[in-house]
Amino acid sequence: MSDSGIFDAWIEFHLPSGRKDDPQTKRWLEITARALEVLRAHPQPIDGVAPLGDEAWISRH
Amino acid sequence: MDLASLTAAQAAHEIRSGRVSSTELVEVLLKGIEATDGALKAWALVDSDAAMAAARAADSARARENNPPLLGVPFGVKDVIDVRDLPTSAAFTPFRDRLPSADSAVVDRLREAGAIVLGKTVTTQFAHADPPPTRNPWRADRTPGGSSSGSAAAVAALQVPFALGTQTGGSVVRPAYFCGAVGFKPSRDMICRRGVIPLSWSLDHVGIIARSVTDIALILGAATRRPSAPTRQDPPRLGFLSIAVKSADACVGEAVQAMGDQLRAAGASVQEAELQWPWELATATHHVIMQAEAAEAHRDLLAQHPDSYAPILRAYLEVGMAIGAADYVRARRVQAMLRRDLTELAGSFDALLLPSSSTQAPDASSTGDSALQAPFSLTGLPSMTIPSGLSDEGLPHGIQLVGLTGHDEALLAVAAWCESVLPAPSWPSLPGNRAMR
Repeated sequence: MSDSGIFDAWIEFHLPSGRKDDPQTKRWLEITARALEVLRAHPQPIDGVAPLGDEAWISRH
Repeated sequence: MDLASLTAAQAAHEIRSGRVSSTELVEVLLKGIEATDGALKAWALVDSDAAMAAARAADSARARENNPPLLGVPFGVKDVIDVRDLPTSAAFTPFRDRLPSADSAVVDRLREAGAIVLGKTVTTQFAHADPPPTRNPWRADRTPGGSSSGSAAAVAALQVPFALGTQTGGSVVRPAYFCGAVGFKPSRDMICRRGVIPLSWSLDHVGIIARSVTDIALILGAATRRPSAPTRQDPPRLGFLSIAVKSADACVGEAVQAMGDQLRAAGASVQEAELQWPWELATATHHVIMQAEAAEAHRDLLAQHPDSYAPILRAYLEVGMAIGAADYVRARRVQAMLRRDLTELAGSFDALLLPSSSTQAPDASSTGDSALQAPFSLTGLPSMTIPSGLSDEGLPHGIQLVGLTGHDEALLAVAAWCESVLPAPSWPSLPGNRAMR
């Protein structure tokens, strides 16, 4: 399942019934999905611990 | 003397010298509020009797020497900040009778410094984004901004010399800018948050709205018990964040460019400050942290009173419940990275310079956009807006300055220098208020 699929699944699980069509809910779903997309697209920060699977990072340090 | 137009520092000076009594000042302000607040709606509650009693006590306590720095000076308190025996409603109906038994830490410090609580100013519900009833004192069809809506409108409308606000995204800097006041968000935790209803633990700040940089320094000194006065002789080195200008309306961008030119002509160095990451990374990171934390903060209350929540906040919290732990942790790691980078960049200059917001005050159906303030709530660097004249539409212009965490006084010194160069602030004339003085 893709990242956005996981978010959609959580939304199905968490949203109270009848709230999915609320205009504000739709607006926040779009904004939050975009924020998550931007965040996930950014490389994991290097904060002293090698990002899992980043062999290049390990070889550089 | 027009008592209502006195800044906090001027009022404190006049009261200390005996030329003005606190009682006179409070009486004038109460009359002004009575005349103007029916239309402005900046106050959730005015505590007239207690304010008058405190003013009389301040006048009796006045001595020739060693008066506390804000003796007899009234202030407003955003209605998410506790004041003993006054309801903290947060614009939430189930909280209308929520009576705190103690002052918040910041109110306690300001009372210790001699200041007088005039009342509670209107907040958006729980300091979030649903539009408030408050109107912009410059134009009634525009928002005063949010969430410290009443605090900004009351200070600009000369109803009170200063007021407390809170900022999680842009809730001090943006409304102060929209209303043409000085708004200051200090370094993270510079002002204690005890007794303030939380929205997002990692992002909440207590801030100050006033009518001069000198006032902000005076009030910050009282709130932190570290008195200081901003003094700067040398023109500052400013780092211009043109990446922020690109995301602003043309009219706002041009005005900030013009202010930059004016500061440069007065001797400041204004050079490009380059970020290593897109602005949207900071706003996205801020969004994920704030929404996830707000959803947890409100989880139980939302379950108990879903229909008492305003529509924007309710949907925001419900969607926030679906943000996963891994995404939240990623956002916290990126937050730390952005803090390091912005600190390094800000450290190359005396302050960073950018627009206070991406637009001037929009219509009253929203509280404006937090994109240009939120990165500094995210990273905890001190930020502030100072007014810089009016647009052709009659709405305030302003600039935003950002300093280094823990060096708030240095930022205020830069702001005081800029304030001395920029156009002198003006204040709106509301129907009824001048006639009362």
